[in-house]
Amino acid sequence: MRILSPAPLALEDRLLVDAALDEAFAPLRARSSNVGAARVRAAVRWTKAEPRPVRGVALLARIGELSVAAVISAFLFGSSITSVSPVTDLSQDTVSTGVWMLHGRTALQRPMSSRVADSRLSAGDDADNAAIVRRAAARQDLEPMPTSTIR
Amino acid sequence: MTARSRPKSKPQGPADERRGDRELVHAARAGDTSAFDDLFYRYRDGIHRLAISITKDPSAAEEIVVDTFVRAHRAIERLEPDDSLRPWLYRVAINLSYNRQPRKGVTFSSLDDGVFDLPTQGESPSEAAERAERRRLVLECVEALGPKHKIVVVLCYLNGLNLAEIAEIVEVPVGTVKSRLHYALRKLRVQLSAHPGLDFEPATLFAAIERQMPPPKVRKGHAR
Repeated sequence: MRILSPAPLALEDRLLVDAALDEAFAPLRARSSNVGAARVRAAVRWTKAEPRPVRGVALLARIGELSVAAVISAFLFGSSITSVSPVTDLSQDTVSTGVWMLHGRTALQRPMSSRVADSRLSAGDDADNAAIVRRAAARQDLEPMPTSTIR
Repeated sequence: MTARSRPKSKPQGPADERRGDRELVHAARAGDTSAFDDLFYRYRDGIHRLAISITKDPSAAEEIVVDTFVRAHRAIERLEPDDSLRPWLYRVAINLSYNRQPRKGVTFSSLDDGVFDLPTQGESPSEAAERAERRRLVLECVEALGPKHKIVVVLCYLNGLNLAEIAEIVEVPVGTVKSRLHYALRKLRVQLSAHPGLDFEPATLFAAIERQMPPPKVRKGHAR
């Protein structure tokens, strides 16, 4: 509805308001600022960013820091790897001697937890088995089983 | 609208008047500090008036002037003013003014500091007092406007900008500026007519509203 839209201001009312506003703002219009351009220049100089050469030096310094950090990390990682002593594989040693049985079980079937406990026994077993093999070879009625078949 | 006097600016030489904002910006970009100073003195007073009308704090207004031109100096490399740098500068100043927190414990009552309330030549003290009172009432009514309407009135009547420049500063279409200005003037008219000491009679306003109302429609059947 047109009656809800803003009513137009009559020209005489508009002129009255114009004159009142002009008169009210006249002192402010005559006002001037005392700020000088030197103050702006000082502020610009104060907040000036770092020049480019300093930025380049800072970039090089950062790259140096990162390379030193990378070298130290690589050294620590490498030393942590080399400090771990290799675990001797008893079953492999046993098999390589030509003995394939330990207390009725193959060497490869031994549980890992029993390696240390069996190390003393395996030495005696190795000796016994070697004696068996030697006796059989002396009788020449039994050929020694090739080690490759065990593997 | 009556012919308003344009705000005074720093007197500039003929060489400065020949150089537009675009030339000054390019010269400042090339390292010419005097060109940047020319830009500063060209817009310093307008920005100061605008800032003081929003913050009502003279020292804050000076800081806003400095901050505005510091930002202009930082952005001078990417500034490409078509004709005038004024919309960009005024927009920055308005944002800085609204973002500035008022100082604690310090209140500024009015835009006017009372310096101009002294009687002029040929004016009696009583007339000067009436004029000062009338101005104070009008400024209070302007202060009572909303921020969107107040900034349009300030830019139009204090800084003397036209509608297109205001639209560019406020970043709204020209039609919106017209609408806001019209609404602000209507509201000012009603508020000013409420003061018995002022010479504003509400009769003309109500007559205008009555003139706008459509005449009652008469149906054919009832027109016998």
